[in-house]
Amino acid sequence: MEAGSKQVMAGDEPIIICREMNKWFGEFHVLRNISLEVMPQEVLVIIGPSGSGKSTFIRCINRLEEHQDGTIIVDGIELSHDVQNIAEIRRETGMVFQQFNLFPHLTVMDNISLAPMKVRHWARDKAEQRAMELLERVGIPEQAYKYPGQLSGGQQQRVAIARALAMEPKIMLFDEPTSALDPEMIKEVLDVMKELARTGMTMLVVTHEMGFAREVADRVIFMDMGRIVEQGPPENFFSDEITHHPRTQEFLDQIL
Amino acid sequence: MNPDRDGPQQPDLNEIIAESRGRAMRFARLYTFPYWIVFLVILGILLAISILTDKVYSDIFVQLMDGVDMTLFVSGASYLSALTIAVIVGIIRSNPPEAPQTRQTLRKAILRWLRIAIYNVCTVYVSVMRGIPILVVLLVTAFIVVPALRDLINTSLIGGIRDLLDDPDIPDLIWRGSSSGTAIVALAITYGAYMSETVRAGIQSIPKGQFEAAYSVGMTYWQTMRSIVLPQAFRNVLPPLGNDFVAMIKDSSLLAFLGIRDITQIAKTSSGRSFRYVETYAVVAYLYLTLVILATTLVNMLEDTVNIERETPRLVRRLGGLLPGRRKRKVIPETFD
Repeated sequence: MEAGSKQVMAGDEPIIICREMNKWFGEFHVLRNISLEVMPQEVLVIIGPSGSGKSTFIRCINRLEEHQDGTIIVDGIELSHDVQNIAEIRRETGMVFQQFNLFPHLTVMDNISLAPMKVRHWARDKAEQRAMELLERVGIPEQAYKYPGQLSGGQQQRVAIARALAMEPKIMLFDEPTSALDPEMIKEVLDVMKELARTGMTMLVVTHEMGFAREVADRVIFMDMGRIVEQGPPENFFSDEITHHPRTQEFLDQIL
Repeated sequence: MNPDRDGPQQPDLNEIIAESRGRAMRFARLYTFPYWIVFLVILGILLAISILTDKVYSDIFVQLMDGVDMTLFVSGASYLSALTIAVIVGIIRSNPPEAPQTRQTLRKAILRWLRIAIYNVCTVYVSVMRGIPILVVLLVTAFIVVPALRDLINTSLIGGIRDLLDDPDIPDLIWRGSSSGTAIVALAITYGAYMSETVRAGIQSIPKGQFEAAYSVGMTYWQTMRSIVLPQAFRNVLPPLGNDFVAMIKDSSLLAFLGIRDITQIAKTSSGRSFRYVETYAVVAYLYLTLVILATTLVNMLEDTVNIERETPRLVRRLGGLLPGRRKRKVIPETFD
């Protein structure tokens, strides 16, 4: 909401650094020369047509996809071909998926507390207490002992956010978190994300929700054909007075 | 719905619906009742009575009962071993090798080629074992592999130890080719190959997103397999795995070729003496049928318990599900708020 009121220290080191990053799927050049720095507590919204590489880009940041060329440094660790323990790096970045990807055979409580217990070796009590706090934060503590199949889409996505937060990540990646939701459930998920942004989480959000971008983003990035075409603060990005790149203008005309 | 709208003298529509729904629920068991079990139980009892009241049949029955132990022991032990092989090979084969996307360090390249080698060895194993009749595997194991292996161990390993310790009294390893141990090995490696394909199919039926979600919270491949993928995969493949258990019980009759005293072997020798082939094999069929139906029922109950959607298959709950009347009700999804 008050994106400007957050104190982004000018002297801080960027938490994510990408330099000249390239990726191919076989012959298909999906990411071309991506260079980008993200500061701690920054909320970055990535928009663009489908197939533009936005999802692939954020999946490279927790190495669900491997880039082939260039540099990615996340929280001081370079993601390269000789990274020894990829699981350790992934703990620091939470991810929320378009299709929720909750574990259907586990209760909501177990979905959230499993990773802290397995990966961080927390005691069950501590993990479940933390899970309950997170469920309260996303507004559905009463659903703790249900299974994902018993929840609505919006509730499932809020559980997915709580699951990612349980690992206490420094960065949260959102891959079209509201695209699979019924219209009336989009708001409850966006509200949780806004609250998260207010508390100073570093967030990279791939979304088609322009309202969210306007309201919450510190910076909007427009991608097309695997390139970053244009970026800027939302007030400039959605303003008519500024001359946009023709491709950006075309996209904005389509959706606004 | 507003209850006052139609006036107080009108019967409440909600009440009528609730009542008729209640009626339907009361008779629900009529539709879902397992009539087939009743049929099979009655059939079983009638056959049991006709066997036990006839002197000839009951004599044969008592003799054959001696073999039930061996049949159950060998099929049970083989099944558990086969399942172990199947899980290991199934996991390996569910993850076929891919070309690297990035430059490789030496360490990663060595690991990758090790994995490629293991994958290919497992694939050869599955293809070969599925292509050879079980009987042939059994005979080859019993009369070629086991004696050769035993002689090798005795001459090189035990002989070596003897020389080393300078003690000629260390005994040779005794391992008869035609023993139940051999039969278990033969059945396990054959069924392991078949069942590994079932396990692989189960693992590959789990959406990729489940792996990605687990990876994204920092879980490793093995943690993901154990806590996320295998529990879901096993639910999906319980019916075919149950099928294999039933088939295993019946295929254990091949033990008779090694002269092991299971049901079939006893039937062979006993009918050879008494010339009562029809009576003997009728009882043999009855015994196998009973065992198989018991096994099927157990598998069905297990399936029912773990298939209650969203239910965690803990052992206690499984056992609870086996007791009559303690079956958990299917959860009716509540309205979303």
